[in-house]
Parts: sequence; C-alpha cells; structure tokens
Amino acid sequence: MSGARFRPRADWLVPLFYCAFLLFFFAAPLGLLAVKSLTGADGSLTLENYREFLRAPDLFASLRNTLYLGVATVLLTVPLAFLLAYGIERTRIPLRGFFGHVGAASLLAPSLLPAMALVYLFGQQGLLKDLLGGHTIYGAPGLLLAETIATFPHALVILRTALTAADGRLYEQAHLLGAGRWRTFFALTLPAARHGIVSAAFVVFSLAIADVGAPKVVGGNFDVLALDIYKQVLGLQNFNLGAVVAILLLGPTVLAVLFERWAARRQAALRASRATPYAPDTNIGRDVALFSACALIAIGIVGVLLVCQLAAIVKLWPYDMSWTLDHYRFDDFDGGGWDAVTDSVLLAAVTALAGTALVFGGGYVAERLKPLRWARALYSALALAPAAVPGLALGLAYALFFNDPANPLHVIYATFWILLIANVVHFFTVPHLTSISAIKALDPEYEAAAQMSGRSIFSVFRAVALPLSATALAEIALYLFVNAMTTVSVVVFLYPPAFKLAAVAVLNMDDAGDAAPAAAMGMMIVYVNLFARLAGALATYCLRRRGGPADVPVMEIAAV
Amino acid sequence: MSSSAGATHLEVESLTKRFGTLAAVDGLTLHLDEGEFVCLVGPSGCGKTTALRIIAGLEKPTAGSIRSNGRDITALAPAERGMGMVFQSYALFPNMTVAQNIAFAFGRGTHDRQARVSQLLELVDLARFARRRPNELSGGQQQRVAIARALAREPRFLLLDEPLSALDPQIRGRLRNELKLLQRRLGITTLMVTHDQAEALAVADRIAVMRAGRILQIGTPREIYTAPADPFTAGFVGAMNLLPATAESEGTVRLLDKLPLAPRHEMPRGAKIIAAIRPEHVEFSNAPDTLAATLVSREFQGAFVRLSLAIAGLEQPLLVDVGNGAAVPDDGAAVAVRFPPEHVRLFAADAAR
Repeated sequence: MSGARFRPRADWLVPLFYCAFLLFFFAAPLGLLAVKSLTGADGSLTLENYREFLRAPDLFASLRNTLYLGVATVLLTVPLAFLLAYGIERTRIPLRGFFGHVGAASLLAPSLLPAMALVYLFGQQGLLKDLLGGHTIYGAPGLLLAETIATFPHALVILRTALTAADGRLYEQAHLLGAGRWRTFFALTLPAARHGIVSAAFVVFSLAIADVGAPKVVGGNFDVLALDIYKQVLGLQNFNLGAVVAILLLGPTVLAVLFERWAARRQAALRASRATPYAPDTNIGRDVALFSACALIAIGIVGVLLVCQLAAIVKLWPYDMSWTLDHYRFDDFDGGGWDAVTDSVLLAAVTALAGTALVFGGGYVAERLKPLRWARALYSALALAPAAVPGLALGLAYALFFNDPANPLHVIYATFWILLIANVVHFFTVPHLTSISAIKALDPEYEAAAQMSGRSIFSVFRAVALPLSATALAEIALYLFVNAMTTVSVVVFLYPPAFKLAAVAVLNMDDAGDAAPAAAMGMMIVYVNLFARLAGALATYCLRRRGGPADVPVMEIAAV
Repeated sequence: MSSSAGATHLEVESLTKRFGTLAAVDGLTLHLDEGEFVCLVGPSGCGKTTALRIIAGLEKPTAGSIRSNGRDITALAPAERGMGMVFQSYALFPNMTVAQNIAFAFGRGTHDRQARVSQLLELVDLARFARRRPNELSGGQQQRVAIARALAREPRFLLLDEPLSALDPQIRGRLRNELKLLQRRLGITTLMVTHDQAEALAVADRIAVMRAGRILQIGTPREIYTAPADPFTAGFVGAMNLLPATAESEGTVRLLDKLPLAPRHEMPRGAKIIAAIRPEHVEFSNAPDTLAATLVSREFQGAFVRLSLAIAGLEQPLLVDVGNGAAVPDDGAAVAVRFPPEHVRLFAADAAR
C-alpha cells in the first residue's frame, strides 16, 4: 500500500505494538493463570487442583451460590431497570431527567457502598432491623439487594438505548390499525427491545458474579467464587487454587459476554436508519403507576447513598446520632489515610488520560491503517476480550505473571505502573468499542484525501480524527476515570504497600470494623466521580456550543 | 493549471486488479489527451472506482502500468503523481474552515500558503466563503471546495469519483454543466467516474463504457450513442429497444421471426441476433414490412411522450418516443410499427454476455 511510503515504519510498527501490548499484558498473564491452575505442588502439570476444588464441599457450594446469585440478580434488576427505562424513554412523566441521573448514580460508587448501606439499615445494629422480623440481611438476601443496586445502572443504560430507538411510524401504524396499548406493547415495544433485554441480562449476570466488594461486606456465610479467590489468595496464599477458582469464574463471564455481544449487535441492527422519533403520549393511569415505581426506585438509590453519608457524619450509628467529622480523620484508621484518596485520583486521572490515548489510537490503527491486516484483526479480536475477564481473575493473573523475577517487566510489580496497566487493560473493551464507533462515523476517504496531498495519515489523525471525536474521547476518559476510582477487584492483589487506593481502603476499613470511616471514604469516591462527571458534562456542553462534532453513540456496556 | 505546451497525457496500459480470483479491473487500457475530459461509465461494481483509485495511487494494481507524459508512475506515491482527486463524499474536514481545508493540502511550511489558498478560492469563486465550515455550504459549493483542494498542488490530472452523486437530482444537472465549464477554463486533463450515463453524455469529451472490469467501447458521446459497439453499451447508454432476431439465408435477418431486416454485413446463417433501435427512431407506418403492435400505455416526459407497445412474442414492451404534439391513438389501439434500417443496429446475441 502506498500509505507505507509516508511513514513506512509507523505503518507497520504501530499495529504490531498494539498486538504486542494486548498479547503481553492480557493474553500472556491469563495464559499463565490457566497454567498455574493446572500446576501441582511439585510443579508438574496435573488436574489435581480441580479435583481438590470438586472435593471441597465449600468451594462447590460457592459455585452453586454464584450461579444462583447471578440469575437472581438478573431477575430482580432487569425488570426494575426496564420499568425506569420505560418511564424515562416512553412516557412524559415528570422528573424523567432526574430519574435518569439517579438511576445511573451507583455507577459512581464502589459496589461495597450499597452493601454497607444495607448493613446500616438491616444489619445487627440496623436502623430498620425489626422490619426483617428476625431474619438476617447477611447472606443471599443482602447480597442480592446489594448486587441489584450495584448493577442497576448498567442495565438501565442498555435498556434506555433499546427503548430510545423506537420508530414512531410503527406506532402510528399500530394505532391506525386499532391496536390497543397492551397489544402494541407486546407486539412492538417488547420485541424491539428484546435484544437489549438479553444484553442487559448478561451484563448484570457477569457483573454480579464477578463482584468481590458486596460479598465481602454483606455475604455472611453465603460464599461465592469471587470471594473464594480473594480468600484463597490473600488469606491462604494458595495461588494455584485461587487460579482454579478464577478460571471457573471465567467460564460463565466469557459465555455471558459472548451472548451479550451477540444480542447487542442484533439490537443495533434493529435501528432503522429512517425511523421517525417516537412521541410518547399521556395516559393518566399508566403514568401515575410508572411515576410511583420510578420514584420508589429513585428513593431507594438515593436512600442508599444518603444512609452512607449519614453514617459517615454521626458519632455511632445508630446509637449516637450526634454529628461529627471524626470519621474523616482517615489518617487515624488503617486504610491508607487521605493519601488513599489522592493516590486514587492520581491513578484514575492517569488511567483516563493514558488509556484514552492508547485505546483511541488503537481503534484508529485497527480501522484506518492498511498494512498488516492480520495484526489489526488480531488486535480487534483481543480488544473485545477484557470485558469477559473478571477483575479478580485479571488481577491474580497479573500478580502471578509480573511477580516472576524472570519476567522482563518484573520491575513494574508492586508499583504504580502495574496498577495503571491493569486498569487500562481491565476496562479496555468499552473504550475500544466507543473509539471504533466514533472512528467509523468519520468519512472513510479522509486518509485518501490526505494522501493525495502528500499529508501523512498521522496528520489526519491529529488534525481531523481527534477533534471530530472530542465528545467520544471525553466519554472514554470519564468512563476510565470513574471505573478506576471505584474498582476493587482488579487492584486488590496488586497495589503496593506505599500506594493505597480509596476503594481498597473502604474494603479494608470495613473489614477492620471501621464502618463509619469506610462509608466516609466511599462517599468521597462518589463525590470525586460526581465532580468528574459534572466537569465532563460541562466540557461536552462547551464543545457542542463551539459548533463541535455531532454526538457519536457511546457503548455503555460494563466491564466485569 | 495545465502545464505548458507539450503532450501532457496519461497512458493506462493493461491495468489489472485481482482480489483473490475476482478481477475487479481486467486489462484496462485508456489514453487521455491533454485537456481532455474523459468519463469512465458503467454500472455499480464494474470496477470503475477501483480503476480510478489505482490511477490515483491509492490502490496497487496486480498488473499493468500507468504513464504520465511517458514517465512510468505506476509505483509512485499518490502525492508524487501530479494528480488531484475529488472524492464521492468530497471528504472535506468538517472541523476546519474552507480555507483550512484547502491549506491542509499544502502542509506546513509551504511558502506563501495563505496567498495560494486565496488564489484557489478565487479560482472556484468561493473567496467570500473562506471562513465558513463545509456544513454551512451548499452541496455545489462543497464540491468546489473539494476541487480547489484537489488543485492545490497544481496537478496535471484531475480525478473525479462520482462528484455529482452526493447532490440533489434537481441541482445535479446545473452543476454538471458548471463542472464542465470549470474544467474547460482550467484546461486540466480530467478523468471522471460515474454510473450515470446521462451525466457522462453531457460532460465528457470521450466516454469509456466499462463492464465487469473491462472497457467495452471508447468514443465521443455521439459515437457511443449513435453507434454502440455491443448490446450492453447499446442498452446502457440512453433508452434502447433490444429485440431478438435470427439470421437467415441470403443475407437477411428476421426480427421476431416475422419482420425481415437487411443487415449491413454478413451474419452466419441461423445465428441468434439482437437488433437495437432507439425509441425515437421507431415509426408508425401502414407500409409493408411493419409489425403489428398494441398501444399499452404512455408516459408524458415533457418534450416528448414515451409510448409502451405490446408485440406478440416480445416479453418487454417496445418503447416509442413521439413529439408531445403528435397525434397518438388511444391506449389499447392496434398499430403498426416500422424500423428504419438505417437506425437498426445488429449484434450477435452471444456478445451480450
């Protein structure tokens, strides 16, 4: 290809670099994880670890519990999220915009936070403990509720997208043909959204089973695989058995993500290019019912956050409700102090900047460069895979891979850099898909037009592709920032002693019985993320006012 | 923009591009004279855009060569070939102003870039719009920006890939005339790709009709229209009736097994033949040597009326154009039609494939 004449080296080296990056920082560590799960105590290859897993009744019960938790969370979350999404997208009830923001709020919090709120409300010293009538919140019920709140925003975003894409012409036609409301709902609305529903279900499933935060806080005796990995590795130092559990957890999440991708593609294909927008009508009965449901959901989510904030500023929940700022003296507790907050912000900011640059560049290379078709195809395939790997599995794989002194990059082990790379790789897929859709929206002839003028592909990237993708870049950066702030799973095996992270500190302080400071720090994470979101919204608003580029659809699927 | 005296011309020899076993371009040979406007026309998928992109240097040919003024440029990078290209979408950068779009083609550090941009804007009559963004311009203005950008490096050749297809049908006709006038004024040798044969007839000095990667016929619009060399070209360019016929002994051809026609040259006996006649050349007549037909329907086209006639043994309707003032029988009427031999062209039927 003649493009090679401009930057012969960059044209070939850049795709190779991207392939090498994902092979080395994703495929190789996971490969080692699989090998470790098959390595016996004497170092030989064996299935002994898996046999041990099957023999241990506790671990086998965890497998059952995990699947149960995943399915139950789906059955609870998806219908609730559908209600809210329907209320927002298909009716004209008041406060729709507010409901949308509240519904997405728990994205900003670590998954520990809803679990902690449940403990404050229904735990041993819970405010509303008596409502349970002697039952305990610890175990399956609490875990189910906590995962529902934590996964709710992910389902909401997918279902809103599915319901937004209504073709008004079909509804006019149904009305002209005399179809009633329910008939229209079951004949038009539900079928059009079915792939979105399936997609949401698989996302919720894989998120719920991969989470370690909520089980740690409210799981009680209801053991799940994610917690087993945590215990095997940090408690018992049994890395090989931890690897077995991680590989077993990987199975369902990989399947779920494969189904999710399939459903999401089908959903996207349903979007008719010439659809006219659907204009919702008013129906008092339906709207009152939906408004009530939406309001209840919103109250639940806001309540969870409020309880955590309240618990953080009272002396001793629920006995001494006089207010204090003592719990904000993080340095007095064993979690890392205020440094944990600043370190987390630093890590999240660098993850956002470096990750956005890396991923968008990779998407551009994969879509727009001509040479090395195989390398670009390999990169595109690899870039989709991290979404299927639970953070704990990736974190454990990194610990095993980079702790090996023979590894050429052993020096990054237990440094800031391994946290950075682990975060970028763990959250790679969504930014990649967002980049691809932004790049696909660019005229395919830009590079050819530049070539005709003797300008390099890089000049198109810099002067055209980047400015035109500004909104997508901002979305990607925000996504990376917020997730890096809240994640526990991918960093919990990796953080160095001198570099504390806020989300991990929440886990550790809660574990040590310092529930109030844990809640205080959890809410700090929420505020930092909220601030970032607002700043992002402002930036996007300014971009648009400046007559900037049009919106590109942002892929809002979750990383497990 | 054109170079000084001397034969600036482009020779494309046996250009071939294979994707696997499929030949998208199959031995394409085409010569352009200086200042000439040539149209490569063919149905979608015939390889015309691929051919243009190879000539531009955006794709590599599997075989064949391209020479500019006798110099082999087959292996040169796009920017080194002395070619400017206007893309189907225009590929204007929406985040840049008109002036910035054109300046982009110069690159940094080009001497008196500003002055040259102004000059180009004058040339395409867009000086007033220098600070506008492309999406604030009409389709025709956007096209002129794209042309100005393509001319920025003073190319010898201008390549146009379906430059009118992005425009509304109403203004397409006006703009193709403007395009033609601009090309005349610049005197730049131009190769345009289009699937629209009417467009090609209107603007081109010469037309190359392409099908399945090959050029079937090259000629002036008049030649292509009045003397198509094969049934495909006959049917593709302009409206045409293609009628089955058979060669008989003694140098006669019988149309639809009924009407005898006199072929201009010998046809092998029993050969299947396709007879082509334009709708405007079919005549109503009561003389001998006519075919019986039934008038089925009519379309008012403004300057003329196109009639559809049913003929026994003929699947598709026979089209006949008459002046809009002509007296025409009612629909359903039985009529007789005559095919003036000077307007009937005969092709061997196997050439249709």
